[in-house]
Amino acid sequence: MDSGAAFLRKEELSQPLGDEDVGYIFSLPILPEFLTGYEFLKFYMDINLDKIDPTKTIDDYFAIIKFGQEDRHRLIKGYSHGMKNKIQMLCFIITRPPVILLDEPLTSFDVIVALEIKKLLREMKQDHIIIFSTHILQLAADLCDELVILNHGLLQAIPADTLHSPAFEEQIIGLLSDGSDD
Amino acid sequence: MAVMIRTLSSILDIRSASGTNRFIYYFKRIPMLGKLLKDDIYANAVLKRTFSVIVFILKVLWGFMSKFAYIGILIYGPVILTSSELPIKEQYQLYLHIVLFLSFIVAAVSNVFIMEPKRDKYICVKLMRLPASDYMRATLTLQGLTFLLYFLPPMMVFASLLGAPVWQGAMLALLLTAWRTITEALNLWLFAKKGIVLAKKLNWVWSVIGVGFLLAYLPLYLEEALISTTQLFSVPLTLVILVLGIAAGIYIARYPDYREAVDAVTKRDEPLLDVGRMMKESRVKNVQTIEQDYTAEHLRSSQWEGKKGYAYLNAIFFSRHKRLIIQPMQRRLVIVLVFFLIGIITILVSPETSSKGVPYLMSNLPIFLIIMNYTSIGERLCRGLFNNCDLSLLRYGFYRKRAAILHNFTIRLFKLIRLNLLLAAAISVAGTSLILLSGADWALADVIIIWITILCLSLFFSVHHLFMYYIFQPYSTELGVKNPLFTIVNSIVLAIGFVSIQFQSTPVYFVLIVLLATLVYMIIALFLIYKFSATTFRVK
Repeated sequence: MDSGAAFLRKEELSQPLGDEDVGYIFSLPILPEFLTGYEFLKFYMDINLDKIDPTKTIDDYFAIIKFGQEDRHRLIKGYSHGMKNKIQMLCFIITRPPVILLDEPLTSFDVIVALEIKKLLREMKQDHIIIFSTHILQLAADLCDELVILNHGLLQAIPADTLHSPAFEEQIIGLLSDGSDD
Repeated sequence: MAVMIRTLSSILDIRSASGTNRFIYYFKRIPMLGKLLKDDIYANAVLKRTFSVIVFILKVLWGFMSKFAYIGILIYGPVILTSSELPIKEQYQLYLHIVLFLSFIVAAVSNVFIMEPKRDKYICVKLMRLPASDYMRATLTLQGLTFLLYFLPPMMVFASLLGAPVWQGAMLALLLTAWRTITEALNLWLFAKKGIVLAKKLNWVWSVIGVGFLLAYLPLYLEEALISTTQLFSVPLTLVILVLGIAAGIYIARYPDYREAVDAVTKRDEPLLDVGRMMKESRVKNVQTIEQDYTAEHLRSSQWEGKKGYAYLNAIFFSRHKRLIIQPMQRRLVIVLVFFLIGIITILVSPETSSKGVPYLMSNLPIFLIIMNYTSIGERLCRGLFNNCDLSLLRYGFYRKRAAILHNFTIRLFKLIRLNLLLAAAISVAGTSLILLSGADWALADVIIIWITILCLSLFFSVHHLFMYYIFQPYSTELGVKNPLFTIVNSIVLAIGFVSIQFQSTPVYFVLIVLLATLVYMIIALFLIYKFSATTFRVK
């Protein structure tokens, strides 16, 4: 099987997944560097006016991701990797797509930012479907409710009780190296 | 001695292996023939040894041929072509003169060997850990010997072709080798004492090349060389050069710390080692946003609070990229001013030329096609737009929606039209004033025609450059131009300009054609943008 379709199920209703329903967060965030964080968010909110919660202001949103006052008005060109990623995540906190995809989150962050983003992801878990790829088993064990492994081009689901067992890592390594001994 | 031979053979092994592999790699990329070689050929040692022998022979042959070509094309050729009426003795003088300037002076600066950033040096010394002094001594000996060897035949041949004794040709090759040894030693000494690597001072290098070439070929005009044979081959001078050459050779051989010299030119990020990357970085730097220019108050300012969405985005972009707009505009206005002043001076100095100016201009209106193409600031603006704004924003779904693209395009188009019209107006005003002041016969119709031509062409090129950018999306992330269609269409437009200059047209017809073409092109362009930009405007 190498084709298919994705559907979003709300209660009993299944709808095909559209572009608007998915938010993608790049591991290497690319943002327009000539804008300040504040300007970029203002622009983003103007464009997506119909999708956002009108009661929150830009500064409220900045507070959610703990973004300093002076940093909001600096050019994105001078932002660190972690700051740019926070801005990316903020974009999806604003427009709230039901599904959020992350590519290798938390790689190359410093400790503080990594923990903040992990906390953020845990909060967002309640209202969004978050799918991310990672090679850090610890992160998967910490955050995930379900886990699949991609090995030699095949997807394998991992039962939920393995996910929270102490021998989790050993079992995963066993599963991954099974195929490579042939 | 044994060490040197061993080092030399290692170096030659590395070079021949790289050369052979490179040959195999490029051969495999030939469409059909390439399939004849399988991937495991890289492991076939016997075959590669045969290849490397072939490559070696080719290299030696190439060494001789390149020296023949160098002297033949750059030195002997020009002499024969321009001064064939002169007696052969004079031609020989001119030949020697050019040799002096090109090989002794220019090449001494542009073709340094010791202090040259070279990939081979990096591989052997930095990666393979060959001791730097062994490497340098081996390669320098090889280089010196092959230099002399490769130059002997061509020098002797060309000397005899120009009626001079063959020994003079051989002596010239010997003197050249000695002289270049001296300059190499000087380069090395300069590095040892002052830490300067002359080969990296590109300003100096290019000035010497420029002046040297100029002085080399100047006598061909004056038909008189600046030196004579007797001076060059006089025994004292020859002896001095040879002795100094030997001394320089000893200095080079005894030089104690080659490691530093090699380090200085093989840094990992040495720009000259990777010319492609150097050019990419300079292109990007050309259009980048400069961070330090903006103060905190400026960045917080609410001058754009009133605008929304794409108007907001573009307003901020244009305000923060003044170097893409203001600087080019200023430069162009200065050029217009300069031409205006030249025009005024011509009018004052020679009224007859200026009275011919008006009819000349009127019958050569197509010239404006070329002029207005380069007046338009669209090209650099589009590159800046791509690199600083669109490259990042095109990753977001909302930016790629058709309504967004069209809205964005319209805002940018109007801004560009405004800017280009300003320049066009300046040109028109300058041109008209020149016409009025020149005192030539002019008709109101002529002036109107010129105004319409210039303004229409400015409009045309504003649309043209943005249209090219949106439909062909030619810029890769390195700002090289990847889409061949882009280059082709641009060339067609310029070609039309050149071709139509050949036809001396009546101004009225030309203006009508321009007007019509502008309108039609704009309508087609806008229609194509409307239909296709949603698919073409993305990051490749």
